[in-house]
Amino acid sequence: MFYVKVIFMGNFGRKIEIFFEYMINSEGYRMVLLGLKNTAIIAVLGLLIGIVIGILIAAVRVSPKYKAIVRVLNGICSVYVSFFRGTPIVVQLLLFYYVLFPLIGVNITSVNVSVLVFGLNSGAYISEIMRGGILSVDRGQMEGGRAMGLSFAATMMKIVIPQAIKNIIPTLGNEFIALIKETSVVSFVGATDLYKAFNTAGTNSYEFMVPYLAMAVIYIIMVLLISLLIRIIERRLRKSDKSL
Amino acid sequence: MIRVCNLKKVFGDNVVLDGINLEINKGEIVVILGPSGSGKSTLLRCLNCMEDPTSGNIFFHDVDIADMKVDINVHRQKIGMVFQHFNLFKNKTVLQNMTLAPIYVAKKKARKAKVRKFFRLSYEASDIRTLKEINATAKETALELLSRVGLQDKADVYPSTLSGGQQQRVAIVRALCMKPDVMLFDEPTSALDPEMVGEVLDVMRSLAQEGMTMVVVTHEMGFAREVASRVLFIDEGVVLEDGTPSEIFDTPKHPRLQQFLQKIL
Repeated sequence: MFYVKVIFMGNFGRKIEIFFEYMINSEGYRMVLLGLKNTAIIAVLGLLIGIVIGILIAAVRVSPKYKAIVRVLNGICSVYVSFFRGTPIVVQLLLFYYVLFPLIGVNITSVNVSVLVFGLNSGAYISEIMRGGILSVDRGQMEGGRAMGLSFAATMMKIVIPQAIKNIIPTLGNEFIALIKETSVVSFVGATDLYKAFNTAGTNSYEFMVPYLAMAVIYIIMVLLISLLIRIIERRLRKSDKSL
Repeated sequence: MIRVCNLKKVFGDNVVLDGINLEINKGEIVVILGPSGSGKSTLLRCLNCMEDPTSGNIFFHDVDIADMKVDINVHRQKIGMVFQHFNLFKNKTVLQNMTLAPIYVAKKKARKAKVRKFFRLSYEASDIRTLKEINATAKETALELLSRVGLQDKADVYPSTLSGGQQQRVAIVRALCMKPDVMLFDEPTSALDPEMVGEVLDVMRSLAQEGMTMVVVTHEMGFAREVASRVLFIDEGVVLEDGTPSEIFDTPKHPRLQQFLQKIL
């Protein structure tokens, strides 16, 4: 039993050595930093694009439907949401990178495609979260605004959506965390993210155990930091609810 | 000022208002009475098209606001409304609650006038104001009104920190900030603790004394008798009786009204 342990630990120590040697000597750390940067860019920009799209779609979907234009927009939004929720993100990435952009003849980097696809994809999910958030705001808030002579859109933007966003911050945080983890598929279109960086490290050093372990640790640290950030934001936004 | 012609409102197969005809003149204080489910709140909410009428016309300053082509928002700016549950904006301070709509409207007007000026069309010179001026006037009006209801020191707090009575007073002055021609009150005291009813009724009473045109749905019979210039009794979507408070309370003619008064007085 003791013998086995020593072999195991000894073996593991050697693996760590190989990992660090590779990281330092072969400049593997540069690739890791690049991967970290790309993962962050794709997740953060994707979330921002997603929030904007999500708010717009949710606003359309809760609008009163007596104008023809609203009905048309509503139809477009339904198709959009069912496409992005109905296909795997990898399929969407491949479709955009290998089908859509070549078809329209646009050259675009794999990171930019990833940002776009993750934005569009999370937009579909966030629109549903946002719709729930809007519906959770008391109807009286909308009536109060409309009775003052504000338009539906103005009341939505100034009164209802700010309150809805406050309500959905925890869910939005979950979406962000999911988004970060999902970015690990962008190497399908050749983008260098965290997974790609550590996978390359493993391939080049013929040793996968430590790189993958390090990768998991970095993902966990990122997610923990974000959870902390969300909690801080949530507390700030709750201020107007507190009694004196 | 407001003329209602043959107003009908149907929810599904439930006929809530069944051909209401009504004229409200400037300076009148009309109290609408009726048992619950009689359609009195719906009638009030139809007056500013918070509920779209199923059929019929509602003329406000001789414009049919029930017509879907009319820009209802412009007319609602001149019809103040106070709700049972106050409906103050939770994400805004008291002052912001009061200045939001006036600033929004003034900004819109200024923008429109600037565009018209650019194209050399006629425009109101007084509409072109800087953002600073707009904000300052709105704030000034709001603070003045707040101090009238004794809440000047609450300008920068959020509505959730106020009592029900205070919130309703803010809601009333918020509507007044738009300088409305008529005020609609939808059971303004029904959601309040009994000891807070008085402070809200006092504000309404002083408003009535200043000559504001008011339409009030309420269960406060004392208020109706004392302040109203006219009382309507509605049941099952029809105006059954329309007269001065003394006619309604002292010599009720319709048996439904007699029954109603017996129950509540």
